[in-house]
Amino acid sequence: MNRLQKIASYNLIVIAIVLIIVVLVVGLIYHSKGSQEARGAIGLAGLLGLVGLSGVLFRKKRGETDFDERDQLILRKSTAVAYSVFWVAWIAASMTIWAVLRRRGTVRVDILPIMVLIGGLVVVTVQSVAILIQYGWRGKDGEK
Amino acid sequence: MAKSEMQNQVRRLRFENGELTQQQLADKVGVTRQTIIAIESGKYAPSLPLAFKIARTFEVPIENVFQYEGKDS
Repeated sequence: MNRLQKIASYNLIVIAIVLIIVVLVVGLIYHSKGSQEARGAIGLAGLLGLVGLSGVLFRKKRGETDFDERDQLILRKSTAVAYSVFWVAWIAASMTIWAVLRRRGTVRVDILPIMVLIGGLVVVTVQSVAILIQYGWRGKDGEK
Repeated sequence: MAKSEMQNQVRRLRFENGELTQQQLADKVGVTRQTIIAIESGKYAPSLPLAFKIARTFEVPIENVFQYEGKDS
């Protein structure tokens, strides 16, 4: 498994763990204290910032080629796919809000940050999955 | 990645050149071992500069290493 695969796997693991924690905590608080308090627990999604540590955790080793033209191509394709999916999801979310809430004339203040958070989540998730698919899920790319 | 229309003799040439390992070839041409594996198995068609580097490593013309199997036009 090369550095890019490790980063992609790390990102997916962090996202999965944080989402499970957020859903569990929000669910528990919602049942015990109600929706107002439960909404505050969504702040736990800030743990997704741990994704940013991937560059530090998986550093380039000195004197070793760990990123070449094929890795560059895979990264470029994955990024293109991720931003294409993001764009479609972003437009769909924006139009849904417009369609559903326009009669009220106002949009709740936490809608936009949540949209941005989910947008970032979509980009990182799709990019990571696309990277792993292109290398082959086995991780070693048929190494013998 | 999709299988390419390129055939290659990298594996054979490695063995004919002192049983060069995939890692040794990768180090010589400046790529990862995974990329050599992908090239040998036809999963990845290298760029022209990389194809030339590989051919030069084996000291043979590039067409002795890579052959195009697709349609002409």
